[in-house]
Amino acid sequence: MEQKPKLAFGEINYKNLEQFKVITQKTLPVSYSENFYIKILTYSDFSTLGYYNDIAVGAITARIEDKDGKKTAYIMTFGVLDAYRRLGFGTQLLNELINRVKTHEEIRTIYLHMWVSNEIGFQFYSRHGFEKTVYKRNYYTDIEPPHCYILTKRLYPDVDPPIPYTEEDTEKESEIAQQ
Amino acid sequence: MKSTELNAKQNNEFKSLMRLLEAKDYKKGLKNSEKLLEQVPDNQEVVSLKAIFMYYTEEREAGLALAYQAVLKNLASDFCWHIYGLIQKAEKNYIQAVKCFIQAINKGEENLQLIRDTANLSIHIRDFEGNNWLRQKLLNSKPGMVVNWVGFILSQHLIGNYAGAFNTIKLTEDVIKKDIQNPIKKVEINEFKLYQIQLAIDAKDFQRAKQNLLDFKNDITDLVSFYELEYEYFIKIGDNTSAIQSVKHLLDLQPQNWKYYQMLQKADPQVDLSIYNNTLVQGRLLAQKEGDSFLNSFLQFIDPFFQKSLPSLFREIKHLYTDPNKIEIMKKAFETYLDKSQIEKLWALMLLSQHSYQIKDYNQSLELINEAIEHTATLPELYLIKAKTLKKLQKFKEAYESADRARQLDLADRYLNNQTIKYASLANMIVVSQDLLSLFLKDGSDPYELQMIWFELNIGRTLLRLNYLGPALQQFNLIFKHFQEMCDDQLEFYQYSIRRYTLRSLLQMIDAIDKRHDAKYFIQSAGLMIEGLERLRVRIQEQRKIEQKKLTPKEKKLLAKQQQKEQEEKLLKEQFSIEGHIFSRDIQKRFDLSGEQLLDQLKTQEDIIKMQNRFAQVLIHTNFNNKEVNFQAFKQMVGLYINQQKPLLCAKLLTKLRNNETEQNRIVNHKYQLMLIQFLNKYQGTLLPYIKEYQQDLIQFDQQFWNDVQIKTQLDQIIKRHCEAIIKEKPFEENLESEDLQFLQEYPQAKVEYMNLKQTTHPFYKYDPNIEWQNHQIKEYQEKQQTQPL
Repeated sequence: MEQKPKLAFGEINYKNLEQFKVITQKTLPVSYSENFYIKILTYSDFSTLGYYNDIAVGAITARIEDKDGKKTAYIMTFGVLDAYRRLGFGTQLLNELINRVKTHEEIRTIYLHMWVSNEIGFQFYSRHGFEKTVYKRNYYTDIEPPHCYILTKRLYPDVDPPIPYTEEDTEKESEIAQQ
Repeated sequence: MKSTELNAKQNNEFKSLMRLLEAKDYKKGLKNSEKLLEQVPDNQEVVSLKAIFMYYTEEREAGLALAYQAVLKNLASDFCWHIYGLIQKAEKNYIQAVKCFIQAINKGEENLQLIRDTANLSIHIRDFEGNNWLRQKLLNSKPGMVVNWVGFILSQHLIGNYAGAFNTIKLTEDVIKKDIQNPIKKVEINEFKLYQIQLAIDAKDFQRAKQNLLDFKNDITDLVSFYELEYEYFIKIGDNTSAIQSVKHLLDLQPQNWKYYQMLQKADPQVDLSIYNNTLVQGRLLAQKEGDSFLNSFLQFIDPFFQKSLPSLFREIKHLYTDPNKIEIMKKAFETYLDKSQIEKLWALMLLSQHSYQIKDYNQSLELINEAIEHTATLPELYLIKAKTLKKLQKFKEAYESADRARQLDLADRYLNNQTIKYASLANMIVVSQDLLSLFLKDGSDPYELQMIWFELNIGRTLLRLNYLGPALQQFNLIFKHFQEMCDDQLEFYQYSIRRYTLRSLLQMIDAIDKRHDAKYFIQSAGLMIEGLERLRVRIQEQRKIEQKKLTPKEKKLLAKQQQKEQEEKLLKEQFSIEGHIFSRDIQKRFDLSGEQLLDQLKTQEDIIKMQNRFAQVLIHTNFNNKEVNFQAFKQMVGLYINQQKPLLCAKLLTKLRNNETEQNRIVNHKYQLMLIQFLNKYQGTLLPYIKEYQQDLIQFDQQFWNDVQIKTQLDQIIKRHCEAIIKEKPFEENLESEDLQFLQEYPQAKVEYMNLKQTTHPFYKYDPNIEWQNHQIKEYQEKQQTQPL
């Protein structure tokens, strides 16, 4: 059998930020502000570019968040260029992230937002131990349907208890917040 | 006692003046020397001192003149000669300086420092006889110093006295052995021995060369140089079998150096290079194969590149495009990779785009590279290929944008930055070019101090295109100066090399400096300078005509008003000068980036022609290994030399044009040849015997040429008509109109209305984004002025 090609990893910095931008624009339906990209540079611990044959073909970025007093890693962007899909690069990027997160013992989970219609995405994530933990209505403003799931992976499922599944509505939340 | 002689007190004064000179305290020196002169007004040595103090206190001209006067009034004084020589040296009149110093040496007491400096200067002006004489003097004075012996060896070598040099070497070896306090170092032995081998070969003393090669091998650490010399020796005596052995040693040391494979082939024409299994040789050998055998070898050659992903592959195979039979085969080979893995598909697209570029199908090339970019949008190399293609399609702005995209993708890459600057200046964006350059310059440095000729040339070319004549000419003028500075920098190098035994490097350096003008950048900028000056000459001529026209009072009033307005605008624009906006005022002034000081020297026709000649007299002796580059520069001299009625130079130029004929420039070249022959045919002066062989029947020459030439473009047609006009000695007064770039290059006056000095409307010559920038700056400035509180 043909050997799976291996990715090399490199940090995202000011000098190659444009490559990250290109990958994000080509792979994600959301358009980010210039400010977002500048901010990415401050989350360098878990963010990485994936190089295949010295070419940047994918990227994953994440930051640490406090959630109910617990530390968790939140995946901000994750994508591989179209031409380089189905070569196992996504798995390699995600595993790289998981390994890096695992060096911080206080971080117990990794979570992300996923558009409800992203069937292929869900298959991928559930293969890697992610579970649907929240159904969020009206999360997006520019895509249809505007709902999303929060997928969460417990890094230590043998130790930590399962997370209950809940539903939320972003519009209602913001209404409440306004009142 | 004569009035010129100094008493004891005055003598002390004189000595303290000398100390001030050494301490470079010129102001005080000037004051004190004037005081002393009140007592001894006719002492020319004190006058000399005053002169050099003046020279260094911003009275250059006066100081120079006074020093000269002092020499004339006291020809016997070595001191006066010495001072005058120092000033000449500071003026960089090295030939004059040497003459003065030799007078001082002959007339005065022995001054070893002066003799040594003069000896080095004499190498600098290539007066090898004089150098030999001075080195002998040094040796006679201080025979215990090894450096004097080595200097004497070299001086004998330079005048071709090989027997003397060998003899001196033998004596030198003894001196080296005796000098226990300063033992010779291993690297120095290495250099000295290599030099001796080379000297024997240069002297054609092959017996000695053979002996040296045998005896010195163990002393030599630089084996590459050793085997190169050994090879040279064997080739010269015709012993090819041994030469093969030498070059095989070289190949062991440097298997990636194509030069050595060529040397091997020269020694052994039957050699089978295919046994060398490296990409360099295998790539070259592809050229010798045909048909299926070629296809197989080609696939075998390129496949590892596809696996390893080397975007540099195309460079290795570019040479194969000279064979039309191979082109289609290569294309097929690339196409086989389109259906393989994704990365192979990417390389295939990239190579196919480069392939189309190479066969001049630029639209196809663009389409393919766009596809590659769509496939992998993160690879900077792809955007550079796209820029190159867009340039050929004359989409200069888009080409810049694509290069800039590549740059943005990898901000750490200097090469991408440089390329983007080149494309920016091609799109006339001077301000952007300067900004981009500053990204990679350390604080406070500037391209002019750093002698960045490539940058100056690009900017100069753009400025000239946009008709900013002053700043454009100054860029080329600066390049010209850099080439002179390169030479002058060597002055420090001679004594150093002699002291360190690196005589071979010194000889190489002398050779390289003598050939320094045979460089692409020099030839291009000299050609552009002459062209730019010609444009300036025409402009001044036209302005004269306008000025001489009689104006009605109303017109005069209008003109005055307009001139005032122009003056005001000029003042404002100076604050935001395009030519040096990024650089400080000080740098702009120091390098005269606006070209104002230069234009001050170019006010009349005569000034301009004089300056053109300064460049032409160097240019006419140059030669670079690209005929197109040569021709584009040389053709600028045709009009210049014909107008000045210089038959010998015209004849020389004619030969140069003929030597640089290419398929591409054939027709244009013919036109210039015709102009030169036309002039030479009519010449009847005293130099006739020397130019007789260049004279020929013009009509026949012209007809023969057009008989076997294919007229393809509008430019070809115009040139043919131009040639007819030349033969009939009629002015060529067609209304030229074209938007074709090549056409405009040859006939920049196309579409020009001379009286208003308007240029063509082609965006390449007209579109000036810098003006937008400038206007924006001015607007901001004015707004700021208005909002400022009173």
